[in-house]
Amino acid sequence: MELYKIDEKGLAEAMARVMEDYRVVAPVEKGPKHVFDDIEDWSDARPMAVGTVLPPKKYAFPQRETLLRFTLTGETPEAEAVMDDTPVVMAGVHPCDIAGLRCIDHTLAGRHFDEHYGARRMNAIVFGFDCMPDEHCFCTSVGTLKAESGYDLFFTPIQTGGFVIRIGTPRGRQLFEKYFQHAEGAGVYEESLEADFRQRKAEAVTAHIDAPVDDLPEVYQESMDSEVWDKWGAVCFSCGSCSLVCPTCYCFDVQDRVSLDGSEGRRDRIWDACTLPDFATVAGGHDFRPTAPKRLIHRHNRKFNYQQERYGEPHCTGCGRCGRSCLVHINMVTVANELIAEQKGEEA
Amino acid sequence: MALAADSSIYVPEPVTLLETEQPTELEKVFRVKFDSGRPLGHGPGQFVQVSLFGIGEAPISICSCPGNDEYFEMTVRNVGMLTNKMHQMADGAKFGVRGPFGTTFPMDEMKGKDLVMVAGGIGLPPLRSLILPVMENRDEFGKVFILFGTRTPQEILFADDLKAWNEIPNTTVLQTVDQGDDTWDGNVGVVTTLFPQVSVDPDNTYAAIVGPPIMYKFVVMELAKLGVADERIFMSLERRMKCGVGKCGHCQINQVCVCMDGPVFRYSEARDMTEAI
Amino acid sequence: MKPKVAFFSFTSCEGCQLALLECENELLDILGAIDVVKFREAMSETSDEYDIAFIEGSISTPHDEEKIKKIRDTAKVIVEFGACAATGGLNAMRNSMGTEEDHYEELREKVYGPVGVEHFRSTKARPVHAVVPVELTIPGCPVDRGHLLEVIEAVLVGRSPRQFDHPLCVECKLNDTVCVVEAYGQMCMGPVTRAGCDSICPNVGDACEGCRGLLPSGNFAAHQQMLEEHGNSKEEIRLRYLMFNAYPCEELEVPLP
Repeated sequence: MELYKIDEKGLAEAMARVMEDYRVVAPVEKGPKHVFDDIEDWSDARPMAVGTVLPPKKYAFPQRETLLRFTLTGETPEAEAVMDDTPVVMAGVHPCDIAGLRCIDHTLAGRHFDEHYGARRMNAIVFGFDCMPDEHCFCTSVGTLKAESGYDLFFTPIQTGGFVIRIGTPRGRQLFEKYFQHAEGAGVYEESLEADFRQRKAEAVTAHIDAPVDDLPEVYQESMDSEVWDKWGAVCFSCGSCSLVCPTCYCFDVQDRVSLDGSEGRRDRIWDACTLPDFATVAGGHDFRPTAPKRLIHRHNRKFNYQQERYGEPHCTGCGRCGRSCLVHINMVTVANELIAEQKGEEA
Repeated sequence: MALAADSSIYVPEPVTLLETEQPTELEKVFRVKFDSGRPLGHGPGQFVQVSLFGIGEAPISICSCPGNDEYFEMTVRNVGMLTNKMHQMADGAKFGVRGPFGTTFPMDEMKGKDLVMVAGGIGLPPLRSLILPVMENRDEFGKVFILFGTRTPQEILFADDLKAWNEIPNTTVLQTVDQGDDTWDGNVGVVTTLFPQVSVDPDNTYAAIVGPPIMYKFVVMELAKLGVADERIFMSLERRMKCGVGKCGHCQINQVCVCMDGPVFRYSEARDMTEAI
Repeated sequence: MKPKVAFFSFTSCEGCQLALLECENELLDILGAIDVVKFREAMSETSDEYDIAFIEGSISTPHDEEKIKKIRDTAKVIVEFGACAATGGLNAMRNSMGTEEDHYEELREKVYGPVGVEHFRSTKARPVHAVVPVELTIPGCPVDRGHLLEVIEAVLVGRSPRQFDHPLCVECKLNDTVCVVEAYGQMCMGPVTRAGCDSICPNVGDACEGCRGLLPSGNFAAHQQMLEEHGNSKEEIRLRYLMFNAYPCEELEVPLP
């Protein structure tokens, strides 16, 4: 694969030109944290910032989205699908969030293809950026230290300054050729600098799951009755934060809204979370998952067991957002390691 | 990239309500047809998403016989906002339907076998979409037992059907109510109390179960006592659903979506899923 | 036929009526869809025939109690309109400052002087549903315009409005709002407070004070412990709970530090 390099100034110039033609979003500062937002000046972008409140999945699958518009005036109600295929360049997407998008693809772009997601997703251009972990990151435990694919362009900082660029798609190549005139070809030396960065990144990860990720489905399957769930369930707020900030969660609710004159309306989908009370309540009142421990079991198994078994990769990407946002310190690594320790104890 | 604005899995197709019948205080049977004239083309056990703009959508089982090109039928219990609105509809009303969705009871696999079909309350309508084609092709199946339990005699659905099926040779309809009254001289007790009257060749028997969540475990125990293997027991599960197409996550049990991988499951699969029954 | 709607004020600041008047873009549509027959903040003529009664304010005097029962006899639908009506609101802070038997005598004297003791008899401050059954609730101090419009729409369409049976944290996340506890260690009631205001306070960096009422499903013990971990004293936490939720604390038997 061809490798290129660009310095900070060249990147800023390239991005300024990209911004002339495209909507560009990137992590920006918000108080002491970062969020993905529209930028008009590349100097506002913090493409390497970890732990944005929400992952960039919101550009492919927005928090609130109108699916249909309908009119109620005629004899037969009529509906029209609403799609948004405006291209958006997402700059600063880290390997964990690239993996997150792929996980959502399995469901929303799998059987019964969701055209609303598809329209946005296909037009969401991924400029991946490498990053340095904070104490919540655990990409090395779930195989997301490095993105092998899923990006149009990928930027890794190198010690001599600037970035090494990899091109991941034909679309990425077109964009690269059109906008990145200041990039130069790179060779074995730059490749070693890239590897060097990744090495330092891997070494900076402090949170680790104490078992290979492939072993986790069995660990979780055998732990359905573990007291670990009761312990964490007792302090869980059932606030849904963990699910809502997750780069692989896609559950949604559907709500209709009608104009006050009753002539027209829309059908929206809004993110939902399986950790919220009533998520599994059916008409008539029966709740299939009525307690916080049961909801936690479901959520954590969706990450390391159910979806992993179904689609062949963990649906936790090690981004650490759920751990950062949980005010009572429930996080994937702690829970996984407690379950693993418990099973090792039982075996011994 | 241009996408046709109507190419969405969430756009319902218009249907017209042909007529309704109200067998019980809470349930109404809706007979509808697509305005486009297309047949629903459902299999036994499938469901549709009924869509009322401004209100929302709800999954509703089909209770009519597969293969009917003229119309399809749904039995709707008035328990929520959408079903309440449906109950207020007059003949000729227009609304939306998406579907059919989900898995079916495997009619072909059941051919030549004895059948035990167990329904509790509002579970009879979905099971009816299996019973009707079985009755239409009665000589292709062995002995058939239909077990139906309701809370009270007032909640009995499809009474005429039950009576007619019971008159078909080699077919036995057994009914029970949790609580009897003056009008009731039949069996009183939960649906499992009917099992002593069931006699089938267990190695050659298929079972189908649809009912309230609490019922499954106990019916499965009775079927096990009869000697029916888990692989030949089928059950339709109910869960909260928003989309019907495996997207919204509400109906997920373990790694399956009830709307897409179900609602009809083989018990040998459902058995190993935590939370399934 | 357009539903006839009346607005009534009980113990409150009437700020929720003003919140309705602030729906400037939608006001004409609202007036096109409903027939307002009583609205003290905006009109002088009134009628005693109505289908829907919006009740603002808590029930906190013997006179309030009589009046709300009469309204219940007339209205097909009663809407608790705002925090005071929905939860007792700020008014209920006084519930722990005296007794119902002496009609909060000491407190009244402090506020109104000797005249008050004689004339302003008061009971415990209660939400409307503590006195008569209600159909709908729009909590908040003041009510959220979006929620208000959604309820009006739902009533017109014949849909049950959303209940928001989940904590405010949901809306903070949907809005990409930086968590004020995580970032600033603020004493936020969001994790135990009913959503539906679109996280208006955290969106601008302020902690939620709980004006939409405690969630029955709230994990209060864990929430209080979490606030302590962030350096808040037991007394501060207790007062924060009692500020907007004195009555819900009693209603839901919330253990206070």
